[in-house]
Amino acid sequence: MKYPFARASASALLCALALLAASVQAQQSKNLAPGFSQRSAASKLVVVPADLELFSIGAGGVPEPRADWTLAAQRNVKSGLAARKLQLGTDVMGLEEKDMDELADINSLHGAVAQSVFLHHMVGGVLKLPTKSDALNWSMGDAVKPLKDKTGADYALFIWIRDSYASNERKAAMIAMAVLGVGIAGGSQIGYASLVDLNDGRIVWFNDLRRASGDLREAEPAKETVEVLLKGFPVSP
Amino acid sequence: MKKILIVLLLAFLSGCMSITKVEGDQVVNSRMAVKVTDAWNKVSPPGTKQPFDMWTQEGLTLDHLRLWAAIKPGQALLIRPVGNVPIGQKAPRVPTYESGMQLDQLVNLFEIMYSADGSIVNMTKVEPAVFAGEKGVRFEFAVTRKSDDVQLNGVGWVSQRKGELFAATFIAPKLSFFPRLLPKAESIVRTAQIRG
Amino acid sequence: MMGMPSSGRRVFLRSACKHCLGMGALLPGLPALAQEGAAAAGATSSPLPAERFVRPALETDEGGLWGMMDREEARLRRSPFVVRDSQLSKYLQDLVCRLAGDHCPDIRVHVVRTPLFNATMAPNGMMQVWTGLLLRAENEAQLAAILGHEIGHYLERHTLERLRDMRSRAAFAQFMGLFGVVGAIGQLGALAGAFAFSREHETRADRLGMRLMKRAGYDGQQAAQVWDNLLGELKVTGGQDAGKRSPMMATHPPVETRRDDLLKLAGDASGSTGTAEYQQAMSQYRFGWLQDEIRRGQFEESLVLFNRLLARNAQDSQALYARGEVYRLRAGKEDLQESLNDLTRVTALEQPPAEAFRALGLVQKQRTDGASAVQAFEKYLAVAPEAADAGLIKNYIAELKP
Repeated sequence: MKYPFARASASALLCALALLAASVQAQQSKNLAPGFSQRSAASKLVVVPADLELFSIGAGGVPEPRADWTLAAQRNVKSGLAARKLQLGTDVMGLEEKDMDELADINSLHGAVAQSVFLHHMVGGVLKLPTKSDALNWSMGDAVKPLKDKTGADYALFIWIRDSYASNERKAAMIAMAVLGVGIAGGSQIGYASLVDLNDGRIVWFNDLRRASGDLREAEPAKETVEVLLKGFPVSP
Repeated sequence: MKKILIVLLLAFLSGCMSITKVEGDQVVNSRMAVKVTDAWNKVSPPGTKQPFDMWTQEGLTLDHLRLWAAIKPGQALLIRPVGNVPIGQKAPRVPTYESGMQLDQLVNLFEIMYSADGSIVNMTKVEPAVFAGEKGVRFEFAVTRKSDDVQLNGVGWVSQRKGELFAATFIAPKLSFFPRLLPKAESIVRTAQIRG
Repeated sequence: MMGMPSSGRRVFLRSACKHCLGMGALLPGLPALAQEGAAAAGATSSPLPAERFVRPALETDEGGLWGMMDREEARLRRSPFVVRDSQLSKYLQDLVCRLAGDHCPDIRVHVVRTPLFNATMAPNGMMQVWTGLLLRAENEAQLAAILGHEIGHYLERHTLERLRDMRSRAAFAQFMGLFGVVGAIGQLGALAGAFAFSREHETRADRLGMRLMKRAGYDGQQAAQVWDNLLGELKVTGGQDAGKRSPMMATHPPVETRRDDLLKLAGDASGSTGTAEYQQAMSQYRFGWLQDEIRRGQFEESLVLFNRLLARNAQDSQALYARGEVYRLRAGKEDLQESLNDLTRVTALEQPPAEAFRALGLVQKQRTDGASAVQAFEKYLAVAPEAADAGLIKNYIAELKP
């Protein structure tokens, strides 16, 4: 029973490391659609409610959803974004959860698009789509029209984060296993921020987050996560 | 996180998928030739080899073109990983091709395939058509995907020659993607020719 | 370690309702039953907690659970899997109000299009009813029994108790499965299994549900009938003794026991069943749900269900078509003949579903009775000229005509 696990764990760990390694080698252009460098002047931005979920990892690695942490994270991300007025611009509006009821189709479609961008472009590597020629070249086309009509905005910012934290039992297990020479992961933070041009549906800027640090449960560390997530966010002159 | 992402991550972790560019003349399972003018991406998931080739334009969470060639009676159209039994069932439904199947039964196989994960599949049009040079059927359908609620449109073609099945299906999100990508899928399907 | 999918959260929630196909049990103590019966019969005290629930503080575990359920409910509200029909919603909401009294404004019913028997209730008042359940319930009293049981869990806050209990045992259980980074994802299932309600919770919910339904004037014996009806289908999946065995752990007593206990709790058969009202409320959707059931492809279970429906009403044309269609699809040794029998009968009834003619045509085609097939197909196209497969059927007609 141990050996298959060890084998699977070894190859899994290798691939996992490849996956977790932040895109350090990413050039600026990886985050930007071809031909796009900044938003149009005096443009309006709508921020869609962030899709967050926080988990606690038990001793055996099983994640347990923690609603209280998630709700705290929602508050913290919201205030973290509010503190970034310089980056986001002057004409920024937020949508509330209840506004999303009528935008459900766009929201779920964007989720599917963002996942493909995340996997095939940001993570890339063996998952790259050759026909994309390494370019951030995805568009939702006219599907975004209802969002534009509702808000009058030129761009929409979507944020998605899944964040796990090692419980005390997990931390104890990590120490125990480290003694035996086996590394097991604690928590991790993965997510993306996606900027969509509401005039043509293109994803014009995309950034991903893949790391084993970060804490959304408290306001100050959450600010750091938001800062990392929005690194390189295009300005609106 | 949407279930699809986790499945793909799992696939990635457990053996690392490969994705290659396909263009020009291609052959599916050595038995069906197609001509590809606009390049596609061929995805080969690790682990069990599926009885179809799977190509995509925008990514696995968005669209796919599946191609089957020379499927024999008794062969499944899709291989399900072991232990993947949805709630309320004894065993996973495996769409299996049998000899002597009528056209409506062939279409039903694809209905089974796309609804196996709890998605809702609705056939919107079924009519006779020629596929890969043989008389068969073309069908249009809509899928409400269970894992992330995304609504997709789909189209499929299936025909038989000498007791073997040949087929293709293409699905993409109903909004924006399907109308835009359908012509690319159709241009490939039109060129399909059975070999041998 | 990857971040975990929200499907983890969803699994967590779904399993909060695994108890639905499970298993209430009677605590040892028949005297309690007698009291129960007497209390229910002549009780002046309300079984409901007097105060409506106030939203708990966020930092508490209950508050966290509410928050999570609220998000789940938002997702549900937007889901294409939810049936949005004001008349159906009103019918269900009214039923909930008859059962839950003053707590009714806190309970929101969502009908989810899934062809399985299930209903769930979250601590924040979100109730889900799956269409497979609405198809299987025969009358208002049976639905009241199920909803009453769910409301029982809600009123006594069982989900919260379970969550607290699970947390303290979680570390121990998970320490057993220390190895495997990849395996961790598979252990999501273990988390789900651990969240089932306890035997005591199930019993209490059954009891409270019984009191609520009797208080609202329904025939308590219908609660037992629900499980009796389900037993047939369960035996197909789990074998002939499925009703007698405990499917999982010792906390889950068998369905037969639950049925028998509910029967005892019910006392005599007094009270309304509300068959006509129920059938009227479901009439617009029933055929679609029957088709969803057929599409499951679980033919043996479907046959048990359709046979039961036809035993109640032999003229039920929708169920007769459904059974004929399943025989046709299963295509076992004697099935073609059975299918022919059913479909011939249903197409002779008044206003059979259009699909019945299609199915009959396909059966006749299979039997190489071309003339009869053409006749049935032409009738199908006459009744449903806009059918999705009109093109294919026209083609069959052309092939079969001499």
